[in-house]
Amino acid sequence: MDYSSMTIKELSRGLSNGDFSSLDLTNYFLNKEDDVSAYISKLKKSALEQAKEADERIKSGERGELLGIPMAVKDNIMIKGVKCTSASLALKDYIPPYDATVIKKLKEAGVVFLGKTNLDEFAMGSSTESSYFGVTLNPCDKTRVPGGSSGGSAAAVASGLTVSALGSDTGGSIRQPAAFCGVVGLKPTYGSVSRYGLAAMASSLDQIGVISKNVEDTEIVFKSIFGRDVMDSTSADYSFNDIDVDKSKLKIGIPKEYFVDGMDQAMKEEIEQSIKDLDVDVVEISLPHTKYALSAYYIITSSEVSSNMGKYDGLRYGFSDNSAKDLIDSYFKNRGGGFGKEVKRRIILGTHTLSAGYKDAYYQKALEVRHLIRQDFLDAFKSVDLIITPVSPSFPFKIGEKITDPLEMYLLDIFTVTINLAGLPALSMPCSKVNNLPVGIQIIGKHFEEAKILSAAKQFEKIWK
Amino acid sequence: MIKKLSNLARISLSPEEESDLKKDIEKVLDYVNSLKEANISSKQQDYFQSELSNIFRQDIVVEFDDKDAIIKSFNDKEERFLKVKAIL
Repeated sequence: MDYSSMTIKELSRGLSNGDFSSLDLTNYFLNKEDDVSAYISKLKKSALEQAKEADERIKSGERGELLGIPMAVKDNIMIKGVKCTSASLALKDYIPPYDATVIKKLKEAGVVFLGKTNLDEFAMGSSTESSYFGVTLNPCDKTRVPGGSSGGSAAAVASGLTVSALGSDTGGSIRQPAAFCGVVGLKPTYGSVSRYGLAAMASSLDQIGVISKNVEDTEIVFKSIFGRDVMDSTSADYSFNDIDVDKSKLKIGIPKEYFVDGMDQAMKEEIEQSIKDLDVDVVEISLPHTKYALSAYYIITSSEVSSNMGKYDGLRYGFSDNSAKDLIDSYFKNRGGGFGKEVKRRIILGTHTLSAGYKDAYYQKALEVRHLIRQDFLDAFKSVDLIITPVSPSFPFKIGEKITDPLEMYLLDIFTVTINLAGLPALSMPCSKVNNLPVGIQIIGKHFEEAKILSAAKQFEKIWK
Repeated sequence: MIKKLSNLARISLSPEEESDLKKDIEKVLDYVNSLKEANISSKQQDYFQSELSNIFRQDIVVEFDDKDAIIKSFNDKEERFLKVKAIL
């Protein structure tokens, strides 16, 4: 049986009815050829054990939407006893001694973990090209990048190597690869999902989220991972209230600053047409500080990166260069040898933006601008329910095309970084195709209003299919 | 500048890396300098600072159940102690 095109909902129904077992599913996905290099590692032994356990639970009458469902996990989220590389040489052999909170929750729900997916080194990138383990290919066109940094998770879902996957999003790292690969990606509100056990990149922006084939599946996984966690002081207590929004009463805001001249013309036209097809009440809004967003974003992330990466000393774990002559020399050599180009670039930039004499001009200013960007959104949400924008200004680009110019790569995150700066939830979903390449659209909601986004998105999905 | 920063960040860089980074960082700094134009009133600044609050909890020791796994990751050890190169 071909399980690769089935959704969580369909697989779950089949498992409950006894049409197939979790072991059947797990064997199928583990043995399916990974022709896009989506995985860094496959977890054959533990996956088969988890599948058998799930089958036992199903046999004893237990039911659950994720019980026995196989999933993939981005390789910067810790599973106890399983290598977690963050796609780096520095952590090539690192084995975490604990589970991330999201993993703990999914284990309780009965999820089977198929493997760890590829990403940009330490999630720093927008194409998955900076991975120490090589690039992942875009299933829609194998000469192109899958986006990043959760490129492995998006490619695995799009090519049927798993039904769903976890990713992480600091400036678009779930939404942009989901858009590039033609699948659905949810970046939840900052604080709605615990970050405990996620390799930190920029802690005030990082958020774990979900990549799936459709909106309903995305919602199923999100519902089982959100909630307050004592291990993450920034996680929030909130409840997901199922709602069914009335499309005819929805007011959608379209920010004029997000339909810029520099973006791909064909993509712009497709998105404008897709919004028209929704037949909803649309108003133009303005988010006036958008033009400063990328600058603020790259200062804040680099600053936080330079602080977060300080813990990797290569002594307690990680890459170690044994030629060092004394302790201080070990720090220099372990870090200099273990980190790749983009990681070093951001550490150096962040060290500069935080250093004495520059901190006020860069970091402090960026924090203030961040506040203005957040305020723009809060003002806009006084008159609209949801905001719709493109996900990326361009279609997936060719492998190697942009990796040599870091600034050009950074500019591609223009439509996604603002959401992280404001801490808002946003969903990326396909709305159309041009020459077989997917066009992604972003639906943004108020803080902790994932339910509203998901309900609207389910209705939009039917129109765009 | 790069030399000073790599010293602060404790990262060894090859001469090629240094010159590449110099070019990249200058370009990025040139771009982010646009922030200087952003106008922030003192009222907005006050509001921004009052918005954040600390989250406190009791500092209670919790026993970790798999210390061996942590020790196993050490790159060098003596018995159960982490061993590092000479400090001085």
